[in-house]
Amino acid sequence: MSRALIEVKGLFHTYHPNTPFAREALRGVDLKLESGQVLGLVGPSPSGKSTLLQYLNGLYVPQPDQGKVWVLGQDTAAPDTSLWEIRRRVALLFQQPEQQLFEPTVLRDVALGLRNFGVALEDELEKRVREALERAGLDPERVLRRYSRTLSGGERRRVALACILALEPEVLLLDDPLSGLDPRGRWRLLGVLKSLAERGISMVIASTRLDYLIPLVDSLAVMADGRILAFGSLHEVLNREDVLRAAGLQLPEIWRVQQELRSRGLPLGEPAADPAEAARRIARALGVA
Amino acid sequence: MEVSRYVTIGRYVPGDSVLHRLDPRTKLLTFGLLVSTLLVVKGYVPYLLLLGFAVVLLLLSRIPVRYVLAGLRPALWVLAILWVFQIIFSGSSYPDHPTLFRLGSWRATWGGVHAGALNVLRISVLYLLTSLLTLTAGLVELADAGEMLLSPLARLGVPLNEVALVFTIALRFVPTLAEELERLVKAQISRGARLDEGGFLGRARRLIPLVVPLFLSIFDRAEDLILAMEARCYRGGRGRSKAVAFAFQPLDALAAVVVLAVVAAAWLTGLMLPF
Repeated sequence: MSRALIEVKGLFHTYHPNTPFAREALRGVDLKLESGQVLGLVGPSPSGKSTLLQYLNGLYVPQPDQGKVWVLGQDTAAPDTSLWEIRRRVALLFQQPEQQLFEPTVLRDVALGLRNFGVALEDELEKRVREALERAGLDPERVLRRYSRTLSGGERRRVALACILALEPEVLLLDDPLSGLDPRGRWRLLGVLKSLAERGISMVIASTRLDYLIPLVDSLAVMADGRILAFGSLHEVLNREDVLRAAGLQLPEIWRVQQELRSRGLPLGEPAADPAEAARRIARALGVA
Repeated sequence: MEVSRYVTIGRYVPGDSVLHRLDPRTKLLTFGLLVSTLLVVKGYVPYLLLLGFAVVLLLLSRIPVRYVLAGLRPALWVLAILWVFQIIFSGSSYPDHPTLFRLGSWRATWGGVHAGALNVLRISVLYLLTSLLTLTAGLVELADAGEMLLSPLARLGVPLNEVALVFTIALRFVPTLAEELERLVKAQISRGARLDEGGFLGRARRLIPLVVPLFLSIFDRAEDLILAMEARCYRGGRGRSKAVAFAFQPLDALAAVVVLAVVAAAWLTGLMLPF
């Protein structure tokens, strides 16, 4: 039986079980990611997004009574599944990953995963590191020998991204990748993620903000209190205002403008996520283009 | 994978039980009294009396009994080994006791069995009492109470407020560092580190990439804390009032009477019943 790239069925997770501090983080989550898809995971904090991503990376493995997780067709709880292999092929960028650079220099940090997983020979390490840095939107010449601590926050986050891109994963799991960056850092990283999506890399991107996700994703799952409230294509989910309100989310402004125009009788189709595309459609509807 | 799970033992569990409502100074004083009794008095009857009292307190605290006992589970092995050691190696203290069995030149006696049992009992009661104290009183509360109880020392120039502050901060940082360590361990594993494999040396070597960032983050946090204290013009305790003023209630008097009665009973039974 062929399975989706990632499939989650009835997943439950409780932190500190059997103590007065027990907290249910996941309460019966179902999810599917098909190959080549970019899935947005949106919801307030805490809603269980980070916990879910850690299950997909094999950092957590469900107990028999906690549900099932299949990654790359393999049941992560099965004894013959190599979680180590899964972690290379389905790589996770943690929340605020710039705080988790372990090595003093950028070169050594990006090489860390390559060495651990043994995916590159010693003499081609530097080449692979350079490629990864370039794909993460950094100039290898400038940053390669720098101390990670001397880079800006946005640069460090892209170094962290390079660390996992170097492993050439098939799926990227990104935990709130755009939060806490300045506008320039955000735009640079957004561009990098877009080009990765165009190259056909599947992704799951968690965020508390819809406007960060909309330019990137083609499907969306809304999470709140450890449950998935809605799951479907971007347009399907964004049309369900009741769900968004229940999760305390706001429609992005670009979406609201197009909806308002439509409700005032302008013949617009489904809203567009890209500002230029939205402008084109509005101009056409107004008969000025 | 969850480091922080292992440091929940003795963590404050907010509540509204009789124990929670006691003045923290009462808790500290009665705790000190009970523990010193436990350390000085010897005998099954007083220990069982104190154990019974601790169990009553545990029920009064309305903290799940299973949770408190779960913290004792990792210590059971230590207690068992302690008992065995005491049986085997204490023969020379009981020269007139009959020999149970010999192990090389060592001689096990009933005296050793009893001494070991008493020690296990004593440590269990000590664990229960300590847990009850930290489970029902917040750290800040305890530090404040300690500071107040020791306040006569301040006249002798002991920087009590600073000591209390350092104490509170140090304890407050334990769960924070556990979380930080958990994050680092996860990040390492996620990037292919095999922390659980290899011999002792291999594992020790793999700790280095965890320890260095952990220390860096401790320094970062300490710096943040200093800035925050400076920003709020922290100048030590002189001339400051407390945000929460403690006041003894009738409940505290009742607690003191009950504890004194239990302690007296433990002393008396310890003196009068020689076993």
